[in-house]
Order: sequence, then C-alpha cells, then structure tokens
Amino acid sequence: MNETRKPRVATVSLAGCFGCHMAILDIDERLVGLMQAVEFDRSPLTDLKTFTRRCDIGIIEGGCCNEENVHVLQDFRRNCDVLIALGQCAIMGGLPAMRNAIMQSDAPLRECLEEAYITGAYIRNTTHQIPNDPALPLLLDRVYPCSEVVEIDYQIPGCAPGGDIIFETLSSILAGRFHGFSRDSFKFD
Amino acid sequence: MSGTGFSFTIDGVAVAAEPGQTIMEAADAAGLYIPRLCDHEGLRHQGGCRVCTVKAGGRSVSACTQPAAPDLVVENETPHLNKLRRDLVEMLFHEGNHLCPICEASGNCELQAMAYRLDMTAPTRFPYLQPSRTLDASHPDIALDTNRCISCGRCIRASQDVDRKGVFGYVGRGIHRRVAVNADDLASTDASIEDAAIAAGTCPVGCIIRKRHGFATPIGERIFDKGPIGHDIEDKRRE
Amino acid sequence: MAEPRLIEISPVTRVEGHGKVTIHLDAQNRVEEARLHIVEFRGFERFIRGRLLWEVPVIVQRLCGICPVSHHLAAAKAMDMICGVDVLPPTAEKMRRLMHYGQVMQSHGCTSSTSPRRTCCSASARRPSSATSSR
Repeated sequence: MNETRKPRVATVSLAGCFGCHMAILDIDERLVGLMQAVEFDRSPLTDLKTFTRRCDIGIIEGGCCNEENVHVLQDFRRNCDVLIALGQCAIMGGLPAMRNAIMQSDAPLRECLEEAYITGAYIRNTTHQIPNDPALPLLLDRVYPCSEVVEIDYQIPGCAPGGDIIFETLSSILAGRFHGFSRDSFKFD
Repeated sequence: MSGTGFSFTIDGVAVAAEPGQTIMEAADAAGLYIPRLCDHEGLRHQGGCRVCTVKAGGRSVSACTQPAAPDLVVENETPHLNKLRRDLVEMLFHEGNHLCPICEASGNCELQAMAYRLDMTAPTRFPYLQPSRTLDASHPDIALDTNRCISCGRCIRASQDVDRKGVFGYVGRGIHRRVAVNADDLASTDASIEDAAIAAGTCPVGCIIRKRHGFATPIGERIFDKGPIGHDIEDKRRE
Repeated sequence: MAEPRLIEISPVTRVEGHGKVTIHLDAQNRVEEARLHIVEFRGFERFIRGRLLWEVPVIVQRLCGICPVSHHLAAAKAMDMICGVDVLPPTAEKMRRLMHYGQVMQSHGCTSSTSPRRTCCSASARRPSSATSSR
C-alpha cells in the first residue's frame, strides 16, 4: 500500500435532512486540517455521484425510507472499509420513523401519502393522485435504521451531532485509536 | 435487632449501614452511586427495572430491595454489570418510541442520562418495536404520552402511597404491560397538577408532561447538562 | 435517432439533497416533457397530527437541516393561528426576527466564499419579515 495515500472519505444523505452534513461543517476551522488529511470521494460536498475508488470511511446520514436508500447504503457497504452512522436518523430511523408508529392506523404509509397529496386541507393537487412516476423510488413499508440493512461499524449520536464529537471521532478513527466516546461528549438530541 | 451499625464493602470500599437498610440506601449515604430507574426518593422500593443489579456475595440482586448485611461483598461498577445494565436500558429504548430530538424531557430524562452514563453508543442488534400508542392530552394541566413510558411504576407508587388517589396503575401482562389511568382518560380522573405523581421528577422520562413547562429550560442548563446522572450522590464522597 | 429518449439528472445538486429531473425527448430529439421529482417522502404532514402543540415547531425543524429555523418559525406561526394569537409580544417578534437573520447568515454568508451557493427548501429565507408578521 502506498504510504503517502490520503484516507478517502465518502458521505451520503439517505432519508435525512442534511442537518448532519451541515454539522460536519460545524467542525469550523479544523475542517481545513481535516481536508488536508483526507480526500473526499462520493459526497454531496464534492458533487461526485458514484464511487471513483474504494474508500476508507463512509459516513451515512439518514435511515432508509425507499428502495434507492437501500441500494445506496448497500453500495456504501461494498465500497467502504468502515461505515459510520451519523445522527439519530441513521442510527434509529429518527423523526421519519414516527410514521412507523402512527396511532390508530393500520396503513401508516398510505395515510401519510394521502394526507400529503390528497386529503390535506391546503393541498392544490390538480391530478388528485399520489405521485407515481416510474422515476420515483419505491417507498418502503417502514423507515429502517441503517443497522437493520447493513452492518454499521460506528455510530455518532445526536440530532444533529455537534462539530466537536464529529471531529474527535473522525480524527481518532483515522488515527486508529478510537475507543468510544467520553461520557459527557455525546448527546441524543 | 439491636440497631447497631455494621459495615460491608462495595467495590472494595467500606460502607457503613444500619440494620434494615438496603444496599442502595447505604451506598447513597456513602456517596457511591448505583444506577437505578424505578427507584425514587420518597417512594417505596420496587426492584422492577433491574438497572440497579449488583453482585452481592456472588449473586445478582437488585440493590434497591436487597438488605445490606454485615461483611457482604458487593460488586457495582464492573464492566460485566454495566454491560447488563446497558442492555436493559437499550431494550427500554427499543421497546417504546424514544425520540430524544423532539422530547421536552430531553436533558432532564433519567433514561437518556442513564444511556449516557452507560455509554450506549454502539450499533445495536435489537429490533425497534415501535409500538403505536395514543397520547392523552385531555387534562387541562397534564398530558400523558405513553410512547415514552418505561413502566417504572414511579407514578403508580406516588399516586397510591403519597397522594392516596391511585390514578395510575398497570394494565396488561408481559410485554403488553403498560401504565394506564383509572378512567377513560386523564381528564376523567381526579389527577391534579399538585399531585406527587405529577410532580417534576417523579416520571423519569417525558411520559407525564406538565403542560406549559415544555422546552422552558435552554440546552446547557437542563439537569443532566450539569453532570452525569448520579453525580450528586458521587459528589458527596469527593467532599 | 428514432427512439424517444429519457435524460435523468439525479440528484439535483443545487438544491438540498433529494431532487431529480427527468427530461423526456421525442424521436426528433425535442423536449416533450421535463419533470422535477422530489424523491424523498417522509410524511410529516400526517405524523404531527395527534402530537402536542408545542412539540410541533421542534418536530418540523427536522424537515431540513439547512433551514431548520424557517420551518420552526413557520410552525410557530401556525401555532399562533391555532391558538388565536393575533399580536406577538415585542420580545417574541424581535426574537423570531433575530433567529431568522441568524439563519440567513448561517445558510448563505458562511458558505458563499468556499462553495457555490446551494438553496434549500425555504424560499422565504430572503424575506425574514414574512415569518414575523403577526397574524
């Protein structure tokens, strides 16, 4: 292996809100050093839509709510040595998973779609249909945490995680000395 | 019993105790924190959550109900016990719908603080049950969101023993056992905001909600922003 | 070029995350139809129903991590309407205004020097007054 090769990092947002990617920017000025130490591959930060090479670290934001999310996540597992679930959505489904447990509903997904596109009080949908274009990825019955789809190596909790914990975790994983978080460093909210 | 004190050890530290004291009571007085969720000051002990499980003389017992005994050797902060406790707390997170980001109890929540204390940050293999439970906001001052209930029974004991009302009780069995009120909804009960069962701190999570108090404390000033759960007890020992 | 063709642009990178454009070309290579797809569906519209009123501004923040404040303030306005609040106290109004200016700075000022500007789902970010008008 080439000694001088920079570790490669890929990131993606699945059923997330991009808040965790924004939280990566909260690393602030330390980002400059980190950018010199690593190379970003597939990521919204580089606009690369496919993997150009195998990556060392894959950072996942968001859970899986449609088939495309699952395929992308599987692609990340295949192409990354280490997968990090970043934020509560990737870890446990997060807020979108609220639709899995809507009270008094046997078909929560259908109710969500109908509320959003047909029955909602302020909807102006001239087609009176739930969007069904073939280009749209098929929605899953539930929102799944990433760890129920592929093996996840590390998770960074938070909604969104703070810049400090992202920086500390990334740098210690890159240095090969990650041994868990300190008790007061992580939060679930 | 003559009422004479004796001593025993917790993790090798000598702890003084009175006859009739539980392991946890003696530990609290000595400034040694044993994690607990269902035990609360002023309420009778239940021994239900098992988070306070310790090894006493080699046997696993709940520290909140097990009486201390002379020369008893108790193990508390061991990797093995903390792993057991973490699994219990993790299962509680998986059993209900615990969404910390939107919960007004976040930062004041004992379940969340216990997860922090027990380092619950590794990917888990338990399934999320995601039960579908209703929220009862019928009462003018109180709301009940059983999605967040961990069945600790603290509100039940407070309502029975302190308020003498019995507003809360368990219904169902096994995994279906849940906390319910003794009427169709909370508004039809005689629950009042002044009850000990409703008091801030009785419910360890965000299940019993005192209306018009939510999100009032900014992040950074909430109870467990100031230190991990149990630090008030551990500080006694440092002084 | 006898076959009709489909050009797919996915994801659309100048908006927050989850968009896709498909352009349908006919046999003469002329654009027949262009469609913008929002591929992410989460269902906030439905699952905030049955939740407590004061939780909703916190829930809808998670619609978008780039403009959470806009969603927070929009929900706060909706809550005002539900409660029949016609006039905000001056402190609340100033606080909301300040929050929104902060959001505009964070979302636009900080990133413009290093990367091409992305827009997010809140088009109203340019008009902070809209979020604070008392309804």
